[in-house]
Amino acid sequence: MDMSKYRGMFLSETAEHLKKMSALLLALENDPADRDGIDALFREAHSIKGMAASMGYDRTAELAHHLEDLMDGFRQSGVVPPEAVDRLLAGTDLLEGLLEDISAERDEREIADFLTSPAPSKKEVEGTSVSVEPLPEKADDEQPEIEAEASEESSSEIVASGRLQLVIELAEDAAAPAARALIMLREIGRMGTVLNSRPGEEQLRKGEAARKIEITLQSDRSADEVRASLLVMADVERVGFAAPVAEPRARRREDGSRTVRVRTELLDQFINLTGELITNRYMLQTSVREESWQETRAGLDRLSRLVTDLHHHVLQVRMMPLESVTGRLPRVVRDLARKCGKEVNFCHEVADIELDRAILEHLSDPLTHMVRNAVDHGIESQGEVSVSAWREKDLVVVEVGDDGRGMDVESIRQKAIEKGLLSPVQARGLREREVLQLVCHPGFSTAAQVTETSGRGVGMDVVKAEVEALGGTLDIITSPGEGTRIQLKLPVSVAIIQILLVECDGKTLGIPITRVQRALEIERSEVRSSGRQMVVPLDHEMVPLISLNKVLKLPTHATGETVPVVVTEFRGRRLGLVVDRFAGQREAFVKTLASPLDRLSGVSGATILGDGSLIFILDPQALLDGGPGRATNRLVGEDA
Amino acid sequence: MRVEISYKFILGFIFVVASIVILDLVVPMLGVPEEFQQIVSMGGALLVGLILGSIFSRAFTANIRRLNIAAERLGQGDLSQDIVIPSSSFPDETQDLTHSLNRVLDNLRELVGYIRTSSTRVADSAQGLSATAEQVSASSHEVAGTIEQITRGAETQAEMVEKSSRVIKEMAVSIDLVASSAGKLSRSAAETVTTAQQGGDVARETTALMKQVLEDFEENGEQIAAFGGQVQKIGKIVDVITGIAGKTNLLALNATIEAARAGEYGRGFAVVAEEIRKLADSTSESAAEITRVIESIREENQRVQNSMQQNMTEMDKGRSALNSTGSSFDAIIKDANVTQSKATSIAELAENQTAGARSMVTAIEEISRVVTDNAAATEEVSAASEEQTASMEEMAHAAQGLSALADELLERVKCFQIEEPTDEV
Amino acid sequence: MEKVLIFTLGDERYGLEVAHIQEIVESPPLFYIPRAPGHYRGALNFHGTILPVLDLPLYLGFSQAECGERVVVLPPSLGTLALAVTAIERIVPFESDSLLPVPQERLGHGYIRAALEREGDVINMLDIERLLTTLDQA
Repeated sequence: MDMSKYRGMFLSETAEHLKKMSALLLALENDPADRDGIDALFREAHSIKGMAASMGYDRTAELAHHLEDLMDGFRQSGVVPPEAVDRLLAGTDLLEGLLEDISAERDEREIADFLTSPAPSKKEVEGTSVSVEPLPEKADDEQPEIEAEASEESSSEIVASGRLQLVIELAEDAAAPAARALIMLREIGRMGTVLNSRPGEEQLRKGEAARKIEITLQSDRSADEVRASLLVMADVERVGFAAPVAEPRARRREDGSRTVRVRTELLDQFINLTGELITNRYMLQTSVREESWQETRAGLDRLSRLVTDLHHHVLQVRMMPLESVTGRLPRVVRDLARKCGKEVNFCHEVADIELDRAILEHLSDPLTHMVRNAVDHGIESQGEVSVSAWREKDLVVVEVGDDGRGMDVESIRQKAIEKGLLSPVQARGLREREVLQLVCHPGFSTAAQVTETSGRGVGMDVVKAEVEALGGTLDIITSPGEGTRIQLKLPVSVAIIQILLVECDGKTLGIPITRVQRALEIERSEVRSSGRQMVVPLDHEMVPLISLNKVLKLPTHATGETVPVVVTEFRGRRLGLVVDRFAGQREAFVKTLASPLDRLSGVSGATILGDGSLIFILDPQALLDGGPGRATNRLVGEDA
Repeated sequence: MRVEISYKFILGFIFVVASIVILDLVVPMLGVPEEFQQIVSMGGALLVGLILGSIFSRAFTANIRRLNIAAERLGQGDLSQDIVIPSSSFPDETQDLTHSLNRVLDNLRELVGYIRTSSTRVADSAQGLSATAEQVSASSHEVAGTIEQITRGAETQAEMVEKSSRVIKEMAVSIDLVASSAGKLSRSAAETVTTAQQGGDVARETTALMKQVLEDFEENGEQIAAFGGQVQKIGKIVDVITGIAGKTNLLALNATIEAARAGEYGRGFAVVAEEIRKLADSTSESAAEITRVIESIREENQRVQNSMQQNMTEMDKGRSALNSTGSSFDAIIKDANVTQSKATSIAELAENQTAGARSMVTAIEEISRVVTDNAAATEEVSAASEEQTASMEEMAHAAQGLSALADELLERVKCFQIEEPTDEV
Repeated sequence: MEKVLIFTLGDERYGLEVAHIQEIVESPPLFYIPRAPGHYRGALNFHGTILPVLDLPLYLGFSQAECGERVVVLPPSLGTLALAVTAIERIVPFESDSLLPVPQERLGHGYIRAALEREGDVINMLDIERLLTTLDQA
């Protein structure tokens, strides 16, 4: 049975379940006797087992089953000991790893080690690395294969129930082999869990007859019992046991379909809207045919409203609660705190804040990193890390804060000078806010920091880049001895942003408004020259000018009396991009770019305007970073 | 009893005849021999006649003699005696004659008497008349002389009047000339107008004709252009077809791709797609063919259109030339009309003047006539007076003549004696 | 039985398996891509997805070759890319075992994975995977 279609759904559902399990476990850590929590945990594990089994992901199913059994035990005992929590957490981590394997179309990793690892009571809790590295692949010799007559010997107390691979042959003269097989399946199902069957239930229902049926059965019963009960059935000729065969996986590369959970009310809305759109379509067709323009106009107005509505609802579909991302954080904090030997309390108040899926996806890693930093560097030995979120007009502010030691502005300033990012003079001229921003500079990360970010390569520079790529801003607020707060201001929806359209050499490009400080036309006469650099005075500051045409390697054109300039921030300083002309402002639906377009430096996306033309959206910072003839680590400015 | 001579004669005749007859009768009776009867009758008749005749003739002859004697006496101027003839029982014309003669004698006697007296009186009057005549004649001469003077003055006046009249007449003539010239001018102007109108008409006709031709041409041109348009439409349609064929080709390709993706199930579909592609390709070829044909048609069309265009340009030139001709004619007509009206007004003026002149002439003629009348009158008077004088002279003459005549008369009358010569004349 | 699309680059014939083709698009409007390498002709809007259009003749070194109006869109599973070629010919069936190895000298630019003989003509089978990999790294 080709289950590959459902793989995507399986993955996302299971991921949800795992998330919930994590959360539940952490809660249980605080409140081990929470019956509801235990029950819920049991149910989650059970769901995962069921799904994995029906998908044919044996090891996942097995592991889930194992955990389920554990939970079952706790259901009865009513208490979850802390060691058990660890083990369960480890179990969920392993499940995550298995999911990764499934997602990457690899074979499921070994779980034998885990299964056979010592019981919680014997395991040491402290210092256990609960990283989610994949377990080393070991030889498969301990894989519990169920031989024909052998029953499994497992060292663990909680027995992984026997898995039986049955081969059942029906009588040759069986009247309705398919029906018979179905009935048999049902019978078997009562004895345990049918993990897999070939031919599958669907096929049997369709009437595909097969004399030979292979069934993978997870059952408490022994093989003999099973066999006995099977042989009792009519038409069953023979029951044999075989080694489980791995389900051939589809080798075809799928485009990792991702799934989304949608509230049914939203779906209802969609149905309604679709209905109304259909009606509207008929109306428009009729009115055009009758050449009644009044009606057509009315129809188009209505259509426009319907489209807006639809758009709104579609966006809703894309909205996910922030919690779905922040949900993992307590775990992270806990683990890291343990590791560092600190006591960190984690609180998160994200209320019902929802963000666009795309943003959330990209937010998950930065948040994790920031939280880690907070635990790692911010908190001294004890403290609290908080993640909160609130709405500010059309932005969502996500704040990661700690009440630790805070950041030392001066030392940062010094470091910057040392690293040659700034000249002393420039450094002196920076305000505190700007100094803090230096932390996010690519060249700023110290070697030490890199290792502590657990090899993921996520530094603050990446965080900032990510945030800005999403159309947001990053702010660091610190107070020595009191703590640090990093604020991410994100647009509610990344999909729609405001862009400023500019023209360079006749080509239209877009710059997100969030990157534009000002757009102005300056008089030719205002432009001064300073060394090789053109500058213009603006608000008591000499803002350097760069031709965007040149940056894009396009031919420049002589402008008229006034020079259009886009003022943007680049590495803490203001910079003016000279364009040929302004071409308006649009609300644009941003489309992400795929390879090879995503490799273009300085291009963050593209959008399709109302007239069907496709324009690319620039990221000025990235553009300038990769700019020609520019020393990437030098800030632009005057040397005084 | 008066018996006229003739009757007497007839009677006589009858007696003769009668006698013959009788004799004719009697004689035989008398017993005269027949051979001698005639001779006897005739002789008898002759005798009778002779007898009667002699009777009558004597009387008659006597009278005649007497008359004759009386006539002789008269002739000698002796008017004193009447004629006497014996009376007769059977009076006849001789008696009449005698009477008549006697009357005449009487008359003559009166007459002569009268004449004698009248003549004397006439002679006396004549002498008086002659004297008067002489007087009248003298005064007549006077009048004549005065009248001559008058006549001569009148003549001068008449001459002047005549002169003025002549002048005026000349003037009238010249005015007439003017009027007639004006009239001529007006006529020629009218002629010009007519001619111009004709010309204009012709021009208009021609223009209309040209317009017609041009319109026809334009229609042709339009038809050709329309044809060209149709050809272009065909061309566009062919373009559309070509486009569709191209798209169909593309569609067929994509269909094949999709069919390939559908694997087994798509096989049939792939075959169909390939057929469609072939069809699309052949359609493209046909469309290209049509396009070529259309191109050549279009070129040809263009050529025709160009030449038509040229012709039309020419005709347009002609038409505008005609238009200007027409307008020239119109101008001419206008001028001619103006001329005509001017001429007419001149003519009218001239007429007026002529009329005026004529009335002047008439007046002058009247004057002239009056003058002439006067002149004539005086002349008449003069003539009359001269006539008078002449008559007077004649009269005087006549009077003298008369007198002379009277004398003569008297003279002549003298020889006559009316009475017994007692008076002396 | 597989099918291959035969197209020309310059005056040479190339082939690409139909399984590697999503759709053929005609004269799509192409938009400027900032900072794009010269072998891209522009970006095209394919049902909402933004695809870069690679000037295949140019990329493979046919400097004189023109690009026709038709663009070959690759399936999303293969990559987000479209290929501009000189001309599209037709789709023909072929047997994968009738493919011949490529003679050495032709392997120059390395994007031909095999040769297909057909009606006396040699069709170069495009090695699309290799091409995509190279582009990704570029």
